[in-house]
Amino acid sequence: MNIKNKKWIIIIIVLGFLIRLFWIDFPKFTADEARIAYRGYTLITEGRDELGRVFPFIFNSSQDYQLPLTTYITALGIGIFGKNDYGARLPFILLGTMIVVISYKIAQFFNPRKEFCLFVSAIVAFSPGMIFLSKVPNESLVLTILVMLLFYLLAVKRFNLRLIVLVIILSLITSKFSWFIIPIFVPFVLFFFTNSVNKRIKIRISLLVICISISLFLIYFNIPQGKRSLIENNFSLFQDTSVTNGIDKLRGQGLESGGLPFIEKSLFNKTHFISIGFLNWLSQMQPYFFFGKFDEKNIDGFVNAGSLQKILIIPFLAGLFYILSNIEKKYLFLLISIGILTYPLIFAAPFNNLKSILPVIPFLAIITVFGFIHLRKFLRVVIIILFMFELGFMFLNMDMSTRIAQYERPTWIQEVIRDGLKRSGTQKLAISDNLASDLGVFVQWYMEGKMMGLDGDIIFPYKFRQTEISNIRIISSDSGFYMCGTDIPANVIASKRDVKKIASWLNVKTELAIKNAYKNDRGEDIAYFFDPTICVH
Amino acid sequence: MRSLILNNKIFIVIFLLGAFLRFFRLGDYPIHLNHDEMTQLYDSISIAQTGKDIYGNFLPFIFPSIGDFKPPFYTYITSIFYFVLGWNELIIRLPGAIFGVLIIPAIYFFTLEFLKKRSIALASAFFTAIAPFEIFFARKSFENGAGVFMLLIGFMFLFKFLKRPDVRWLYFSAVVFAFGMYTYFSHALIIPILLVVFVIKYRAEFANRVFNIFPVLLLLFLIAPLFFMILSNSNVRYRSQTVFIGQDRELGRLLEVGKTSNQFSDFFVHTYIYVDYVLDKYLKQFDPVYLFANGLDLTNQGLMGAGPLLLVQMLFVLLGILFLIRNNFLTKEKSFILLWVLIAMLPSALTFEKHSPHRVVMVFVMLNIVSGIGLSYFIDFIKRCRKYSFTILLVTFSAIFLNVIYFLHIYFINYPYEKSEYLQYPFKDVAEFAWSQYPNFESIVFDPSFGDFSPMVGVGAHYYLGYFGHYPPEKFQKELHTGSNPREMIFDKFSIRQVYWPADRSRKDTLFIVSIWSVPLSDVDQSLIIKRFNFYNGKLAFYAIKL
Repeated sequence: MNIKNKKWIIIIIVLGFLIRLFWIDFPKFTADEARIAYRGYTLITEGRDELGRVFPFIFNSSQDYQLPLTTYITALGIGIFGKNDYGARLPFILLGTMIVVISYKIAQFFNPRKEFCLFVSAIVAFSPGMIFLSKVPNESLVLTILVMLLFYLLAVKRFNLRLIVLVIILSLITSKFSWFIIPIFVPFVLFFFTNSVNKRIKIRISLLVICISISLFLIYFNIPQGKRSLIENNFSLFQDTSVTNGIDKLRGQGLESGGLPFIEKSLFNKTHFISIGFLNWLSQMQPYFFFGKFDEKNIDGFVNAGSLQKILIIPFLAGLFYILSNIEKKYLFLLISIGILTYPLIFAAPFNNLKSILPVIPFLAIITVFGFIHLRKFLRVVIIILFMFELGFMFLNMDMSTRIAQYERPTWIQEVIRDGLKRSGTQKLAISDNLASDLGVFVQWYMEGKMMGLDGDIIFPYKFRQTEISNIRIISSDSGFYMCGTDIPANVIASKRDVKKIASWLNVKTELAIKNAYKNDRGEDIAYFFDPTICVH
Repeated sequence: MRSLILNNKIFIVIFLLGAFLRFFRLGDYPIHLNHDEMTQLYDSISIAQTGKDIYGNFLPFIFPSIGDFKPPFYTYITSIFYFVLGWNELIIRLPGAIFGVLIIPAIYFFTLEFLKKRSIALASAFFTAIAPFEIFFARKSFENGAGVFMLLIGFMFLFKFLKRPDVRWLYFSAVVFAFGMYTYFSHALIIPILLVVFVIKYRAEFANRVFNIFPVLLLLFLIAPLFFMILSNSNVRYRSQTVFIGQDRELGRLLEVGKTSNQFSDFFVHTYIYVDYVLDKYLKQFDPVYLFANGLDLTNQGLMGAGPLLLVQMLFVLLGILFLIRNNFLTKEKSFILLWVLIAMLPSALTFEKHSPHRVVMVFVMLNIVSGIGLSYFIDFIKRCRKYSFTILLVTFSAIFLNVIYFLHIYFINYPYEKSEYLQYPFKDVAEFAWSQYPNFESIVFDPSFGDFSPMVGVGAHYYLGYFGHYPPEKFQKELHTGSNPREMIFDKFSIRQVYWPADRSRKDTLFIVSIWSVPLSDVDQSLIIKRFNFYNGKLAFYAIKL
């Protein structure tokens, strides 16, 4: 195939890349993303993570432990482009663009028509969910590309055992989620879609992936807080007290009303965990998240967009009709894959983890294009026009996405931190912790240079939050203020909560003491700078 | 007769089962008349006795009620029951329950005409008999059931006309559709759309018939007053505005955040946000958890509740869809089912509530038919596996049976405990107690601000007092007036208003009925409390203070 034949796919890839590159600093980082970025920086420059540990395998995050691959990819980007948005985001933009290429290749497996493959890659290239998560360091995107790559290597490309094993290992050190999906996904693809190798090799690879996954699981289970991490984040269903309370309450009401204990127990018992887990999974498999709004909290997605454009629900439904009415092994794969790639959500109830549905987007795109190519030409044109309109609006309206997620993805925090540090010089600086979620990591990422907080004493930092970073102190809700006397005062960047405290505890006229006020994206005052007259305890 | 019964014995069993589930202790469950039921009940008695509602409006087209401007159908039909059965709480629930039962044969005959397979019609009637939303709405005096009944009958007549070109079927359907539109305002929108879709879908069949304009004219003639009132009556417009999506808080927040400095782009962005939000909301209506697990909002236990459809029905809905997709016949019927579901879901997407199951009953009705298709073909398929067919069918029907029992438990036992405050429990006790104390006090003040977890105002309190005091509606119409205190309604000795205890505590010869939300228990001398009223779960709802 020469360049001329490839021109459309090249155009789609380039557009996909540029659209991810456009407005590089959007979206602003969440605390976890900033932590990964800063960690990548310290790893590449010092060989230590933000907590001072030398090339660790398990990392810290605000809700869980984190597996290493995403961090080391970020470190690579920062090593090349420096401690800036390009360094932290470009590796993921490139990975996001690579998904477009792999989607094109995988689409050929389902339908070799060029038009079909181009549409699949275009949908993936311009998928709002994919674009958003291709612009920030996160493990869901990495896992998505590895899953796609695995399918490509196992079912489409000529069998390359070494490469396959490498990709399996990489995917298993990306996220815990992969420990549950990869040991099922790989044998499933091998036994149903791989024709180029014999059964013995298939069994060997399957056993290998199962053994590695179980080993990693067991090792993880035995590290300090490992069990807790699994229960809180991957098996939260079983510690969800609302289910137990619900069972007890509904059963108790039955008993109080004169119901027979046997009947009450048979109606309300622990089997509800199964149905609730299943319902939790179903609730995340609904069209609303695929085509309506990817993230209801507006943190991990564009404010007006689902994982795919809304208009695509029409071809998607048509595609679903098509593949259900022509059930072939290949088509069945699409539906079963969606189940395999998302089933761990059953155990994650009551939480929504919509980033986890990212790996199914390319499969949704394939189903969508099955429908699209069977629609009338007029309807196809209308869909393309509305698709572009939605895409255009999504980009025109990025400001809104920024404004609405301003606590989780604060844009103004960079200015506050840099200005605060500049004003403080070498003096101590104290900052209120409720300015943004997990403020310490923002301080580390947005300040110039690096500022190690710890010396690697904490080997297994589970949900660890730093409250002292060099000469910066994070003011918590428990902290108090006093007039220093002989103690050394600190510059203070206070939130409204702490301004109130300062005013009432110290009887200070805050309007005189405040030297600078910082505004958020909505133009509201968000933080206030105090000269060094106050001490924090 | 005997052969008719024998030939239809399965249907008769289904019908009796449905009737039992709708009429079993109808007066006792739901445990209390909610304010919609109470207002319609007292207004219907008022209409029957005086021709006016309790505010003195003569044969109103829309009932002001408690400021929510109710459609007229249910109140008027209850008046007829009042003439027969007299002053009785049950009369408000009977029309709903009767239409709830009549829907079972309506579904059966509609499906028979529509899909022409008896086993599907039976299976659809079976799901209609046991579906949670059918039972729930049939027992709570809900007018939508009558509208759906008429919709089904109307389409059945149309199918009959397509089969046998007798123009009388068209006249019947015109009358029935017109009545259907009067029952519920959203039907006035949805029925015409469905009719247009139907005519377009079956245009070839209609084209083969001799064209007759008169049934169409009859329909237009019958619905003309309805549309005239809808378009000209400001109260109807007010009702529409108050439930419209524009009242949605989240949308308001998005519009606020989406404000731009430029007027043109502001208009553009706001329009986009609006449309996008409606579409999102529309998609949300297809949440399987809402449809099959907790959409009826009968408990406070998250996913442990009851959806409009049984959880086990999900399997049969999927099988029904799969069957429809995989078979090349029933082409028109397939697309009509799909369009019915898509169109009838619109009202819920256009209103401010997250989910409004009462506005999309038509969708659930069609999903019952789809699950009927699924069950029917599942049974056909299983029968082919002779060796295991009995076992599989036993397991299947046991699962359905268990699911029904689970729903009935939630409905009859848990729902009262969990949601009694939303049924305005214990307003009846309060009203009866207030009347029992009538001779002992110069005035009786009732502050209907109450709640189990947070306060809400029982705005229908004057209806409860009027009804349970057997207060003659004619006298009520003359006596009822607003007072000078916040949200005060006065009639006879009764003042229903917000209580301000620092000022009110000095009053004499007055009975106060208040909740902890208006007067904390600690502010009251305990010896003055003469009666406590609890929610169904035993928590304190109101208490009476004697001054």
